[in-house]
Amino acid sequence: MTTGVLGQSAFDFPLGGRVVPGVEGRSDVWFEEYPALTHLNLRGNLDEVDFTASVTGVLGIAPPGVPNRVARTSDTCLHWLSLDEWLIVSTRSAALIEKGLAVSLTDRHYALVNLSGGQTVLRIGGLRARDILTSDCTLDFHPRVFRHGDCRQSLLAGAPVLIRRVDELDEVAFDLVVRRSFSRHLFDWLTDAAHETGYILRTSHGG
Amino acid sequence: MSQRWRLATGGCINRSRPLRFVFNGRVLTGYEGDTLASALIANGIRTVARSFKYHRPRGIVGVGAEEPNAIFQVGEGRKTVPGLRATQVELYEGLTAYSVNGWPSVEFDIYAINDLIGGLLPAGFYYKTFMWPRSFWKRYEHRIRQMAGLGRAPDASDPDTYDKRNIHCDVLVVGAGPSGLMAALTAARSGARVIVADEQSEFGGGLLGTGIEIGGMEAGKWVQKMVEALEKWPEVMMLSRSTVTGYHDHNFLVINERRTDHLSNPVPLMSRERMWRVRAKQVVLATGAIERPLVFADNDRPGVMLASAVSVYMQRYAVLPGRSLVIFTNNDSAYRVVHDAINAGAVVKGVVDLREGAASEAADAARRVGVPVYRGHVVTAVKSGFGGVNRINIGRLSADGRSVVAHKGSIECDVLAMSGGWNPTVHLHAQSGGRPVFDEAKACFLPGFSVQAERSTGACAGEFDLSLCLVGAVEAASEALRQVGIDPVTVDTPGTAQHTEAPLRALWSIPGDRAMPRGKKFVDYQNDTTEADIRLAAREGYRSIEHVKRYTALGFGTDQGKLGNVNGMAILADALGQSPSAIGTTTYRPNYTPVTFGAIAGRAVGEVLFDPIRRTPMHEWHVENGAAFEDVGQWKRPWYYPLPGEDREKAVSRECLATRHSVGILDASTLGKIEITGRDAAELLDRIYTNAWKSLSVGRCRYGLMLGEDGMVMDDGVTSRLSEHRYLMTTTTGGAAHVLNWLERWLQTEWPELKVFLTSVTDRWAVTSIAGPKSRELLESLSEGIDCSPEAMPFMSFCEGRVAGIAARVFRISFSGEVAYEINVSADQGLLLWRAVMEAGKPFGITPYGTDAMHVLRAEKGYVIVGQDTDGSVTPIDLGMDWIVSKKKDFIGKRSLFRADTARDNRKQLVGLKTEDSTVVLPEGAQLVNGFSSSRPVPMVGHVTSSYFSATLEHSIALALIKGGRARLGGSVYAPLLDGRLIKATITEPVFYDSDNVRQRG
Repeated sequence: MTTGVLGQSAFDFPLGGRVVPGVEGRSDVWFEEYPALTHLNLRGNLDEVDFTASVTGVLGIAPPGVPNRVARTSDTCLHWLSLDEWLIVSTRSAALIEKGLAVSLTDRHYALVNLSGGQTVLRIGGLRARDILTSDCTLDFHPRVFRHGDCRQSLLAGAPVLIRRVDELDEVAFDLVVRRSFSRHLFDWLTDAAHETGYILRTSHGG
Repeated sequence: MSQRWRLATGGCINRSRPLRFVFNGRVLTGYEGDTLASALIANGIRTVARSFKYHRPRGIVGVGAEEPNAIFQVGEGRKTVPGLRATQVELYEGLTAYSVNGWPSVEFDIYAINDLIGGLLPAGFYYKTFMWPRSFWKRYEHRIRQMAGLGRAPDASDPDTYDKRNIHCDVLVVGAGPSGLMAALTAARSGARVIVADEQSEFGGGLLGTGIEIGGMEAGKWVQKMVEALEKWPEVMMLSRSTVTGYHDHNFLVINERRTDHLSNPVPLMSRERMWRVRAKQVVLATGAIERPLVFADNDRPGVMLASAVSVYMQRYAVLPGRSLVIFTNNDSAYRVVHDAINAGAVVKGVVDLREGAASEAADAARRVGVPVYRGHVVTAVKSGFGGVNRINIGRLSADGRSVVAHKGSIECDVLAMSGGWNPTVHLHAQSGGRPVFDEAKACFLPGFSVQAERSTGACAGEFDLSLCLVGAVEAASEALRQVGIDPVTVDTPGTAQHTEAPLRALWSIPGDRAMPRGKKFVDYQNDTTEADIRLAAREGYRSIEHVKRYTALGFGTDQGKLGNVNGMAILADALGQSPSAIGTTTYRPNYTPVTFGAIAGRAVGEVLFDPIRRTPMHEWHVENGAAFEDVGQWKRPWYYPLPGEDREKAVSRECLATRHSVGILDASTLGKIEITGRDAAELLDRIYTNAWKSLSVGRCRYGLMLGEDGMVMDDGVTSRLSEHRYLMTTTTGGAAHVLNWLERWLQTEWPELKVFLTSVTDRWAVTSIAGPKSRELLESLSEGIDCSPEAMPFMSFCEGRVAGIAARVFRISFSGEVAYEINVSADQGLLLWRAVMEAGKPFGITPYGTDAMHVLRAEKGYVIVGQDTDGSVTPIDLGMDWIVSKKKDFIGKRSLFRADTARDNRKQLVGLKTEDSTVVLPEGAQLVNGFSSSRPVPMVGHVTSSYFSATLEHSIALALIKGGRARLGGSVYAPLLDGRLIKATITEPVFYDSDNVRQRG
């Protein structure tokens, strides 16, 4: 189902262009929203005939069987969520992916549910990004433990989030996939936590 | 006033940075590097507090966390903190501190009368005395609290901020003395992730300020080199001013870091304290040991101090606690004071050593510098004047240590430095689940068997020899590393001077001087617990140390008995004729030292951050339009939208009437939504819900009730069949997560054969609900590709199309009893749709309504709210909903409906109530009775679950659960209210409006 109308960011205020200095006058953390991406929840069994092949055929990557790993192409990330559940985040249209799988998995037992608009991606990066994430998340963000290409589900500031490490150009960065209803709270918490390190709100990608 | 007791040179203080502070109203100065305690000593202030019960003058005893007396109120106004140990408060410019336990002042305290009548205040005095008459306790308590002040909480909110960090490591080293530093270096060099936490402002622990040589250099230098080496490792985190306060299950430890307290001008934006929540794979405890006092008559006089504290004050802080000292000891460690004091220019009048026998190495060294050593002697009395100790008596100890056989004479002195040996700081080991064991040879409790991944090393493991500590620390760290799969590297330990120490002699209570009036022998300074109290408890039949603790207050208070506990346990053992190991210790609980509430709360304070707030996509519109909000779980839902001048009642009535007469609009986005996919989806619904689902055709919706296994109503909602094998279930707002877990649990544990997948789509859909006789017209004006006619879209059906140009699913379902449509659009379109509907609804006078009006509208129709009209003890039959319970198929909870209790007649059943006076609205929760009754309590027949004033009916209405209520329709009940009124109401059907459902089907 295409909406035909440009979607509204999960944040009800403009995110971009704010620089808030911290204790030392610097802004060691930045935030950036990636709104309007396609989010699809995929459920199926890896040992089901055609399942892996069909997903690979449509998305160009197989659903990872290793827990907490992300498979990705240039336009799509496929996150392991549980033994039979993955999250697709993509710049491709939901309808195309849905149609593609519906064709190749006709009569197979799987579920593909469009969650677009119901969740968003908030990227946090910078020198002190890990500091801010540990302010209320009990995961271990150490680079040897939370590796590039890893994802984890946990609570951050009491909100359920999927966290993915996405270092770019040697800079630490994590994507936080958060439900829309929690997004403002998460933002409030993180910017509060970052008031000591200082932070920058970058202009959203495509928002 | 100049610092008359400050040494001209030496110490780890910065004489170029004088700091002014105020103590009990007096302006004093100290230096950067001082603690409040050392600054008070520098100014010659000896009486700093009054004791808890007897109001005896007290001075500084210790130098760290163990300090029992110098407990002050620090800071002013909103930033004031009670109960801080002066020994751990770093001095800063402008610090203010007060004693809390003397009135009118610590120098002159009228309650000191308690000391003279002390014989009338034995252990258990409060239990024995103030229990009668019982009703007077409140009055007694007020006086007792005033007498035994514990400081005061600030009376306004804390302006400081606090925060938390969650962190993981391979090895957490607790304590950065010689053992901790050595263990940390071993772990760091081996490549481990290491955290070192130390409660002091500087690393070095017991080495600080000592002249000890280690690795061929002065101790301070060595510490500095070690710290520099450690800081080079990127995987090492060094935390000073950081107390490991709690050791919990699963090697989860809590560190309380004090970040700004020592700063005269705190950095703006910086949190005052940070709570580090650590998950450590391995813990190395290097917490050191705390010196033990000796228990002798008047051992609490200002000037009686721990020997180690005297040394530290002189060496590290360059202050003189006194100018003429006597040392009283049962071991060699206290002899260090002899040399430290002489170096500092004080006079050492003698060492009273209760051990008999040939001279030891330490005693010889003392004699060589001209200090007399009295072997086999004890201090029998302490004489004190206004400023504390001024003279002591000594006497010869009998061979069995139970009496004094000869009076030796008296010595003038102003400080008595005492040492009864050392107590390893086993607190964290004990918190981790370990049971400390008593070591007879060392006369102290040592860490026992490790229950968690921890090991103790150095003095806290009972090793008091420095060179052995260093070797042991490397071993402990290496073992910890091996446990986490890291190969330890070889680390050389530095050389230290070797000493031969003679063993100590444990003498838990020092006999007094018979010729003199007997003084009190204090065991626990902070609680004024004496040796006599413990012996009395034993005589009165107490056996367990846990009971004796509670009877005598031994080990309570902010210091948790860090000085007194072991002495007290040993004295109890002696009184009972047992060994200390048979008595054991009391339970060491978190926290090691008190933690502020601010640190515990962290940033989760205030309206915004206390708990997650969930907002719907239309939230901002509700805010802009003045909605009052209601918390539903974590959601914020519009409650009502008051117009200027309207109160809640008026606003709700207006919203209800508008919906009944034209069209109302409600944000229903918060309802839980679960997509159910798979060829067995209908089978799952059949098993979960009480009614039948296989007959539901595509495009249709059905209401369902789900029960727990106990047959009680658990949740309800409408489920729609989206396509052949695809359903959309809605749940109550608060029940969404529980229902999803419930379904998933059954699928995974009991019915893995069902081909069904579940996906939560609660956040995916923004739901705009329009209801009222004009809702169809409104929808028609906005929709494309949707036939809104009753024939094409009958009640309980849905269709897809576009509304206001936005792709939508429109469900024709109703919770108001009116023609109503729930328009579902992608959440990111929710606000756009809402605004479009509001705009298009203007000609109809569209009225936004909140949860309050929603509740009234549904109550008029007798629709229940699970969790309001039910409470986990209500079956569908109790609700009069037999029609929804299938007789043909099985479902969860079915069997329970046939239990004797669920099938009996006289259960509470849902009925309606109409008050005799139409304007009286019964309070929700009101109990119902059958009228006046002579029996007490009056038999209660039920209670009100929902109650409102219905503007539509111009009458108050209520739903109630009443015993056998269905059989009493038309009868009366009464609601006795708190204000004495007895409200009469008639029992009715629970449906008050349009009972034939003509309106919603229209």
